[in-house]
This record gives sequence, C-alpha cells and structure tokens, in this order.
Amino acid sequence: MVHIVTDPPSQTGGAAQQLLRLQNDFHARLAVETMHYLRGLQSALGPAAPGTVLVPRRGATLRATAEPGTQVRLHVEVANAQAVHCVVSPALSPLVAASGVTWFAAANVDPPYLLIAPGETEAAALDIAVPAALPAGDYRGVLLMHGAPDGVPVTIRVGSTPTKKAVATKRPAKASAAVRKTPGTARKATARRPGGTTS
Amino acid sequence: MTAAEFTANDDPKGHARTTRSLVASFAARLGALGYVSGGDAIGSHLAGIGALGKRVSATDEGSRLRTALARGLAGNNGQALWQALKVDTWLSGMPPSAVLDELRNDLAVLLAEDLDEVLETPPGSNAVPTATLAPAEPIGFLDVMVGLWAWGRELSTAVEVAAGQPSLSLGVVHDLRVDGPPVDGPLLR
Repeated sequence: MVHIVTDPPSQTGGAAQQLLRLQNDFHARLAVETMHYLRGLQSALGPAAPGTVLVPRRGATLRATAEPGTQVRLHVEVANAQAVHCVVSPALSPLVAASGVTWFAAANVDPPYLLIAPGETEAAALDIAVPAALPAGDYRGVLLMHGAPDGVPVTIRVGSTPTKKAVATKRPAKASAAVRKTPGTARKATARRPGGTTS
Repeated sequence: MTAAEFTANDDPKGHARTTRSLVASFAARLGALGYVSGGDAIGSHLAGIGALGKRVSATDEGSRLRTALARGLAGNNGQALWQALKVDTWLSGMPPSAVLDELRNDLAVLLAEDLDEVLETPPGSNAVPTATLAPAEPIGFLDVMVGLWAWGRELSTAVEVAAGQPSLSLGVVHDLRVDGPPVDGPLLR
C-alpha cells in the first residue's frame, strides 16, 4: 500500500495549489472544448433531405383592391416539375399599412394543402374578408410557402367607403378578423358583407 | 394582379427529388441513428421543429397562436421551465433537422408508383447522400410549441392522404382512394 502524504492544510495555500487548480481547470476546459469540436464535426454533415424550390413564373407581386366589408380573392397556381409528389400549403402573413395598422387578415385558403402529382398543376384560392372597420390604406404583407424563402409580396388597397352591395361567394371566409393599431389594443371587426372587387 | 404562378423544381444546390433519392435519404436517416446519441437525435429533431415554428410564426395563424401562448399561463410556465432546465440552451446548440422536407419526402415515397422497382434494383453507388446541416439557431419554448402545432397538423394531413381519406375540412385536391379488401372477408367475421 502506498501512502501519499500531502502537506498539512496550513502549508498548501501557496503557489503550488493554485498551479494545480489552474491545471485542473485547463484540463476540464480542454475536455469540454474537444467534445464541442468533435460534436461540431459530427454534425457538419447529415443525411440529405431533397427539397422543393418554388420558382415564380408569373405574378411576382399579388395586388388587389377592396372596400371595407367586402372580400378579396387571390389565386396561387403551382406546376410540379419534379419526379415525385410535392406539397404546397400557402399562408398569409399579417398585413401592415404605412399608418401602423396591422391587419390579421384570417385568410381562408381553399384548399389549404395542395398535393401535386408529377407533371400536374394545382391551384388554391385565398379568400380574405376585409373588416368593415378597417381604416383605408395600402396593406402590405407576404404570401409564405415552404420552398419560396422570400414569399410573394401582397398588397391590398383598402378604400374608405364601405360597399352596400353584397356579393355572395362560394365559401365565405371567417366573419371576424382582428385589427390592431400599434401601439394600442386589439379590437374586433365583423365583415358582414362578403364580396367585393379585385384587380 | 390577383394570381401568382409557380413551378416546383428540384433544389439546384441539393439532390433531385426522385423515388430513389428519397429512399436513400430515408435509409441515411435510419443509418445515422447508429452514429449519434439519442440526445443528439432528439435534440436535432426538436431544433428542426423549433426552426419550423419560427417560420410559421411569421404567418397570420402562427402569429396569433404564438401571441396567445405567450399571454397565457402555459406559455409563461413553459418558458420558465425551459430556462430553469436550460432546454433552450441545449436546443440552440443543435443543428436543426429539415423536418418538413423529411415529412413531405416520406409522403412522396408512399405515393410513388415506382417504389417496387427502386427497392428491387440496387443503387448505382454505395455513397450515402449527405448534405451540410443547417447551422444551429436560437430556439425557444414558443418556437417549439408553434412548430409542433404546424408539424402535427401537416403530419395528420399526410397520414389521411396516405390512407386515401383526406379530411373534408381540408379539401385536399387529389382523391387517391383505391378499392381495399372486401370488408366481409373471412378474417373479419
């Protein structure tokens, strides 16, 4: 049996102990950094997941004009040039006016999930109910789709006069949409007259 | 202009989407599980869910959900729990998996008409399809919650489509239903 005799506590407070502590800290840090480096190397490459890129053919910007209390319809069409099925699910971002009004448009996408066979083309319609209380202005947002990182810019020009003529639609969008003016509190507006004009 | 037209193409910087490449990608994912720890696999998947949640949070629906979560007790408790247990720190250091691409690729394999042919013929080379992983990014509790919501919704739709029973509420374009076995067969008596 080997006995390791250490200095009594009264004699260990000097430079030797500090050196040992520094060495221990150094080795611990070296181990952590080495593991971090190895993990970085391990995760630099991984299994490939072939993806889909949506390239615009026509309509780099979506524009529409509507009156408060009416409805706007936008269309998206996708042709699948890949060798297997692809999926597209368009979604609209909140729309913001220059005045600071943010319009959470509650777009109704029909159908919301486009499964497109190779060589085929499918389309979706976005019905957007314009709240009757929405202030006039140009509302800008983005139509977002996986595979189109920048999305499609959307501009909806809302006039100041509510339309009195109601136009029936095949599938009316949700009746309510939140409108928030920043800074401020959210309030609800109801679109009771679906229909309207687009351009 | 109220209409936009797109073409769905292969990523010029990546692998083409063919049945063979998707099968190889699936096999590579399975094979990679033997080389990484369970924590890394789960962390990378959750980081991918969180990255998806970040993108979905930019949409109208996603931003509403995120705001509602952030205002509620569940959102506050979740963020407190994650910070206390440093879950966000862990996930923020993990390379996010391309969870949505993987899910859509798996669905495409299930719907491929040439799968039997691809499985019967050996691949031209033994090279494993790899790609540079996306860099790690800050991931928080709300990112993962919104991502789980979006991914779960996509997953349930994909399973419905694969079963040939797309949800009527979703109105999926393709009707892939095929005649199944007779329901009055001997095994069901």
